[in-house]
Amino acid sequence: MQDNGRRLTQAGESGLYNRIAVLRAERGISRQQLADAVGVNYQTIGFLERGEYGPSLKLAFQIAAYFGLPVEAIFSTEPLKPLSQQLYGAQFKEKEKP
Amino acid sequence: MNTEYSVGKLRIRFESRARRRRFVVLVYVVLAAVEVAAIYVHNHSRPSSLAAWIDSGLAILFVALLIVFTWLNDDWRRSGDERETHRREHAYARAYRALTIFILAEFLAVSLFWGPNPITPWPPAARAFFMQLPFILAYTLFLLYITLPQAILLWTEPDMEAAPEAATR
Repeated sequence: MQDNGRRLTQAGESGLYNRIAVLRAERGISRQQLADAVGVNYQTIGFLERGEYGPSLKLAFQIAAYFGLPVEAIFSTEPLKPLSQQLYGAQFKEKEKP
Repeated sequence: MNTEYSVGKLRIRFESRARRRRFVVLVYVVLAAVEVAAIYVHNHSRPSSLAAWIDSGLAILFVALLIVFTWLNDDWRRSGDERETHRREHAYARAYRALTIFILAEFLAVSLFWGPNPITPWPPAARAFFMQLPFILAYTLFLLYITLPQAILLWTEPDMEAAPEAATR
């Protein structure tokens, strides 16, 4: 999981950035569990995480539904910020303002 | 893609692309050798029980290799995985595009070289070979028609993860 940062900031062959690996690690879900839940091979989850495969719209929505998040919170065409920074960064910036 | 196969006690692992490519080369080398041997047996042996046994043995080896090769990718056909479906369809499209070119080349070769050729008289040995050309090419086409999509899949798929247990991290 040491390359989660790379996955957020490098799109890979698919041209898509995603947070699947981060979300999976955060919730303690294995690739096999996620694969079973969305009906794909566990290897496909690996390819998705590494940005080597761009999912169909259906699969993207299935993954989003599984994590209970909007699809744009998981997939993006722009590099993704770490979730913590996205959640709390704005609050800190507001506090810092005089 | 199933990356581990068991034949009795023998376990064959195919996670590595390099290993899969070596396997594809090996299969095609053996199939080509079988084809050449079959042609040789047909041309150089008189009808005898030994020639018939060799012929049957080569045919069995040929069919066995084809079965193993197509069985390796069997889970691709059953799988509903969208990535695998996409890759498989892409491999079939590439294979049949290549086969179309092969058929055109075969048609051209047979048209030019088969039968009596008044423009370029061939020596008898070459003529004997060219008379067999349609059969050799048809045999090769049959072989490629069955195996090429699988070979493309095995050749192009990147390195795979080891096993579901190892992929849980």
